[in-house]
Amino acid sequence: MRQDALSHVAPPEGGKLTATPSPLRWFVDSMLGYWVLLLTISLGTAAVIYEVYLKGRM
Amino acid sequence: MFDFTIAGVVAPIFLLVFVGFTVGTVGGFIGVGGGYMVTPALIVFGFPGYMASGIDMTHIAGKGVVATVRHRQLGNIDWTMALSMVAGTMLGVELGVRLLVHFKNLGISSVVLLITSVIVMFGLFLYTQIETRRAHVKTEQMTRDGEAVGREIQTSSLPRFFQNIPFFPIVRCRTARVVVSMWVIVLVGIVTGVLAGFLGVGGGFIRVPALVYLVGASTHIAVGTDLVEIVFSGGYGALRHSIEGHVDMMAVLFMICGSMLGAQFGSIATSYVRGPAIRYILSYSLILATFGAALRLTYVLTGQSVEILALLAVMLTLGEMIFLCLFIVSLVWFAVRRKRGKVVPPWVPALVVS
Repeated sequence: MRQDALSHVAPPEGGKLTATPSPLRWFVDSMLGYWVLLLTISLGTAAVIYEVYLKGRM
Repeated sequence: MFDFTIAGVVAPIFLLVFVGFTVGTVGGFIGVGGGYMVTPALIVFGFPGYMASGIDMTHIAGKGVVATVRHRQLGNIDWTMALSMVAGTMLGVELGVRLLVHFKNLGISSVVLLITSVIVMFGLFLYTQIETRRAHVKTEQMTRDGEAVGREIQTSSLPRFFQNIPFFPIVRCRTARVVVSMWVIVLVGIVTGVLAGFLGVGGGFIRVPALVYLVGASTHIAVGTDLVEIVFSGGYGALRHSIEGHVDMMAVLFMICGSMLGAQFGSIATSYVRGPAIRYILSYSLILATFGAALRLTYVLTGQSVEILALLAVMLTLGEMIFLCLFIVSLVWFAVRRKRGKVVPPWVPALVVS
């Protein structure tokens, strides 16, 4: 059953089947990806704070 | 929301606590207060320029005393150098505050402070990048030549030049192991004092490199001696700014609450996260803060009519602070996981203490 589920994955040199890592893992496994993730969260949070608390009061 | 009556601003309390927390946390990694990011941030959040400078200066003064006591216990203070510099620092702070009052009377304090902050932060970014690369090249060369790589890597030849200036009186700084004309030290004090009084910062980001690259002190002595100056410049500057009506004590109080928490967390984090790596990341975050201040400057110069500029300025300035805190908090979390033998991302071991 497991081999059927992974039948779309090309077998590596050893002949064993391995699952393709999720593209979302790039945001954690790569430092650049992690920075992009944190920066998106940070800029988004800052934009929300501006809209809710600072807009029109500055 | 809190009405800061003296500053004439309505702002959420958590924003000031968070700014204090970020500065407290980051200060533990870079060895200096980190106040250079507070003044532009407060202006971006809507505080008048002279108020931002006064609030920043007053919140730094209290922190300096605590840090000085700690560095005195560690033997990181050269009292001869520190006391020689005090006269220059006090004179510089007075000049800086008077300069700010002059621009306040002209109604352009925010504009001038933002321009100065943009120049200072971009200069700091370039300085950190160049020094990191030079130290990296030198370390590689020493490793290739089979030489031992010490804790301090001196890449500048300027100390020799300044130590040979023959103007009387020559002072012998025993702890720093430096013999130099007192005028060199006084001049460093005046220049950093003017910046401190004007921008409302401690001045460590200029004074520490100046003591290392011009006078020839080692980094830890420069940091300890700089803190003594911050007690004087911060104390005197806070008094002068208060007399001029530049201080909203409630804003200072909220920021001190945040910086106390941040300093505690920062001191814990330094035992988990490697300092040089954070300094490198901090230099990139300075670019965001520089663009944030530049956008706010453009917003003010365009008559506060282009709303998107204010939004982008807040996004970059506040976003940069949130990014720094999130990154340091997550690194500590990854470091704890690694110590417990759990899986961490492959890039983490290079940044955390094993």
